[in-house]
Amino acid sequence: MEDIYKILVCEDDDVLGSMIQFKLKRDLNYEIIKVGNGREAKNKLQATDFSLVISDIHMPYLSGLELLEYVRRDQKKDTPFIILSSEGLEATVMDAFNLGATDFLTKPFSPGELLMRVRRIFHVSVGKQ
Amino acid sequence: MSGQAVQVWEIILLFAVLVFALALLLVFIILRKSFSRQESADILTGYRATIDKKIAIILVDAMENSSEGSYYNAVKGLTLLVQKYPVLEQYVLDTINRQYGNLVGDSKTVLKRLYADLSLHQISLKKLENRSWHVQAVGIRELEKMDQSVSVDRIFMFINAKKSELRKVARLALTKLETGNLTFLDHLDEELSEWEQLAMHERLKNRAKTDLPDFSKYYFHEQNSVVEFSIKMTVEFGFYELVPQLITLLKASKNHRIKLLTVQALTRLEAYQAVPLVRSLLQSEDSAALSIACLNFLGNIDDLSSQWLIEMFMSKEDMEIRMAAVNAAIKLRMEFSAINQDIENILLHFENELIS
Repeated sequence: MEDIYKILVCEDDDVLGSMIQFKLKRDLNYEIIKVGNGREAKNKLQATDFSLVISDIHMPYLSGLELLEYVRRDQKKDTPFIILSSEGLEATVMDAFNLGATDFLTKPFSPGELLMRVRRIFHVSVGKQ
Repeated sequence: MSGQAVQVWEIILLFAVLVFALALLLVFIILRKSFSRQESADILTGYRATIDKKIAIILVDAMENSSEGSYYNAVKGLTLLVQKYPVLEQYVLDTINRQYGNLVGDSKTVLKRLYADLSLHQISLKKLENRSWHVQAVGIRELEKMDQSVSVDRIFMFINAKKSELRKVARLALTKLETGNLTFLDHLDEELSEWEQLAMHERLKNRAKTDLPDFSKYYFHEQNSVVEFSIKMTVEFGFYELVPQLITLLKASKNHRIKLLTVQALTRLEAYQAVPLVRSLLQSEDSAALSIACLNFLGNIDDLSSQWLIEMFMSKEDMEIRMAAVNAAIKLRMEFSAINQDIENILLHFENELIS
């Protein structure tokens, strides 16, 4: 039986969020859920187990890093987490990895590259199983 | 007499009626504008999600090399929507503009194609004809963001605009959009501000080195700020081959600040060829700042034949010059022929700095 992976995409830019959602859905055929702010994202994380979270850093209500912290420290889950950010400052990158991010992608980015990184994470996840 | 009184009352009444009619007209116009704004806002709210989805699908389709037909159908759909509701035009432009900054690679190419196919540059170009300067500035920024090199001639008209913000936006846009030399520099009436120079540098950093301007072209520009900018960029981009031209500039320039910047540039470029000239300048110039810059140059260049000159400056009246001379001596690892209390104090100062 094929596993159905669930990916949560947290991006307040509708076009970018939709684009990531469509791209991943078409190429991976996984269930892709998109939300537009941190609060919605947290509600989804509380209600559902996700195989991967892709989150922008700057979002209304809760930032991507705060969500990551919530998943790692409060939920104690090791869900893979990809952070997207328009600022590639060393401090931001370090913060993300210190909190337990799996990967970090700065904008501007290529959706193709994001897909490749997602594939890599699942390939590794499947390998571990 | 009573006839005259009637006439006056008639005039007053007529005037009152006119004022009332004007007031009614004004209220009507305000209400109409308000309804129109509300209508536009409603249309925007209603179609925003549709436009976002259409653009996202176009991008994903294009990445997967879907048929040209499906692309053009999608573009046609957007075009019809925008033609029906012109208020959506700016939203589409803003969305594409924003995504252009978010994406790289094929997606970015598709966005540029979409932008062209929807003729969105016309919206920005139209803004350049607006009487309001801030609308003109918005138009220029939009054209810059979408790399619209074809609009260079139109933006050129604003490089000497009365409004400084508009001038700045035009100059920065042209820095990005012009290839090779920055031809607009030849037509400046107003100096480049420090901020403009910094922002221009940021934009030039994105160019390949082979596509950078020939900065030596501006060394003798009539605007001192352009000369300064060119000297700084020569150093920032490491144009060592321009050292001879910088030396020529140092020889010829009468401007103190230009001389100072040129000596500092020659220091950073480690221009050994400039040693005789800098030594001569050090002996002839009165300015403390220039003396210090020359001493820093001699110290960094590692030219031992300047030792006698450096020692001479260790006994100058100006403390900062003395410190610069001692600093140069330390860099050259000179042995001091005479250590007086003053030099000893300066050496202690440098020693402490090194320790800390």
